[in-house]
Amino acid sequence: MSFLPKSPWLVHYDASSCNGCDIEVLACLTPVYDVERFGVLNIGNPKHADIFVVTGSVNEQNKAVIKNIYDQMAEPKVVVAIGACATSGGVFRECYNVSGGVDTVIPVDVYVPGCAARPEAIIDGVVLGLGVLEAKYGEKGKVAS
Amino acid sequence: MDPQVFFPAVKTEVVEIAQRNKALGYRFAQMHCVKTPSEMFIIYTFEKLDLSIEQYRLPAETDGAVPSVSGVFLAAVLYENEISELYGVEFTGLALDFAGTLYETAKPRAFAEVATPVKKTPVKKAAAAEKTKVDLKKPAEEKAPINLKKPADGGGN
Amino acid sequence: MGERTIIPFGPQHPVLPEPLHLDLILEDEKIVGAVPSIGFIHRGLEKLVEKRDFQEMAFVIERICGICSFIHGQGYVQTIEAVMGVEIPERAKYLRSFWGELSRVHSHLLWLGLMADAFGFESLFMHCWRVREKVLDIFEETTGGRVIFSVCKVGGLWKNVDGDTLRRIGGVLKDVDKDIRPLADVFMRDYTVQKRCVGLGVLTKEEAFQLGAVGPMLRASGVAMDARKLGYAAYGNLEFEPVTENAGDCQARIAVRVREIYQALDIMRQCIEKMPGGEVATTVKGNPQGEYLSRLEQPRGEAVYYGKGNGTKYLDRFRVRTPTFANLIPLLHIIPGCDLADVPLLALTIDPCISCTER
Repeated sequence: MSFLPKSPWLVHYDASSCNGCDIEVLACLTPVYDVERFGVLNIGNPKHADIFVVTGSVNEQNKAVIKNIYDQMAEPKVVVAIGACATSGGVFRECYNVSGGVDTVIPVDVYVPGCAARPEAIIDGVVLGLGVLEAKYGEKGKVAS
Repeated sequence: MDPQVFFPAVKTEVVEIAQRNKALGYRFAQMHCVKTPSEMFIIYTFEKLDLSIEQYRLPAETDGAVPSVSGVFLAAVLYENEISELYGVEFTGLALDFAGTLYETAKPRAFAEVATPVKKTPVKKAAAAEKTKVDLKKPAEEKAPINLKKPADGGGN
Repeated sequence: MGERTIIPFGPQHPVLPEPLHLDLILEDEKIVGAVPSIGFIHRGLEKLVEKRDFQEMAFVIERICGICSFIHGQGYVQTIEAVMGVEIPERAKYLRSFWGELSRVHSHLLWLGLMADAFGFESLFMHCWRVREKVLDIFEETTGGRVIFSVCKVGGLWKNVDGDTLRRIGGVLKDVDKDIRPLADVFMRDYTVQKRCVGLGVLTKEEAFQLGAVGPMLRASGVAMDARKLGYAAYGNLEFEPVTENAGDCQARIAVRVREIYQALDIMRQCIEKMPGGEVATTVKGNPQGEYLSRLEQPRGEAVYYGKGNGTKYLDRFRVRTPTFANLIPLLHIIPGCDLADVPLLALTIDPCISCTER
């Protein structure tokens, strides 16, 4: 059972991803895999979001942007790294411009593997993220009735 | 498929070639740089409406200067910026100069260093076989039989 | 003279799934200039030729972009096959054209959905992606993947598709055709779509050709250039003509892409009818030596692939010139003069694939 005050809203950022995982994230929101029926919205503003969904590895220009979006989100927040590239760098980890997965810049709570990660796996990852979010709410003493 | 034809060119005639091709109805398709341990060159590709192409090969070197064709074809500007940032070739007379901020890579001029592939010396098969060959005619060496009744050294006596 | 303000657009923006940064210089409400800043997806993967041998490099090149994935893989193996002088079986050529056209349908449906989302028509976005799921089901059934397929190898294909499956897929494609008709009607004739898109971002025929535009961006301005006419894979035996429009504005580009979906469905029907039997792969011996430049038609435009081998199993150089790289200069040309609210539409009208551009 969830004790969150509202359905989680996602902010999605593509950090040097090939777009495969991003299309699958968008495919989760469209008919067939539809998560919007649960109230999960893909919101563009980080200040309104609870879950930060990142795809793709980290390159030189992206570090500042990822940190910026993470800092703008209000506590408590959860980071879900989607795809092999966000987890560790994927196929590109030996490239000169790639410094690794997203956890080199911000703390990650859930890793979803795959290349490209399937929508079922992404929804699974977001649901696990919800559990982490609930735990964080509990720690802060903000369990809403 | 037919082998490709690359006309040789030198730096001083690059702009002239571009102008001549523009008058003939070609447009700028692409350009790129290739660097190997033994040579470095830039390839220009011009394309016509009927999809036929004409290609030129220009020898170049890192830190060398090449006149830019962006005055004739504005489309060349992004390609020249990319080559100058990744390979270190300088283009004089760029219409739009990003001054090294196009990609801002972690390692500047990353393509200018080429790794020479490590060549493994082939192990001579016959010599290797000699070492491991077992001579079946020679009897196996006599080994001292292990005496199980004798206690091991260091054990309590 | 009005006051000038600079507004940053991107890299994280609700309308663009990819990071692209534009500094828009505004005078009151009109845009007078745009300074692009790219490089957020530059991974430098062309340098990986030094570390991956030429068969494995196909997997890396496929992952340049998830939307154009199949044709990147096809371009790579086609170039290396040309360098090595390998001739692949006929069935492999037809299957590659088949999957290439299926890729085109899925990519254009994706783009139409994103375009609808950009001008606020969210239900149309959902419908386009619902139809696209049927196409992805076909991909999954024949190749095993929804987005990244890994079916092309130097010498042919890893997988074969049998005749029964192909006939059944022919039936599914007829359903897709029927499903797309009401959506195409909305895109071409709806009043609100026309109000947003007609007359926006006009690119004349001369400008499009000289500035280096490729793909639907070029064909919507009246220039009939389509790299499939070169006759690579099985396109030499298939009948089709480049789809052109004359207006050169956003509405014309939407029309070109909608008509290209129908054309792709027709080409796939021809492929299924003419598909020869036989093997799908030949053995490849030795290493590539020499250079070759080949051109393929991606959904976004003409892509150029250059490969150079030196006799070892590692290539010297592999270079990909993607269509969005060529379309960036025309984009900078059409942005000045429009309103701020039209910038997402214009950024999407070139069908940007920034991960392709920066590799």
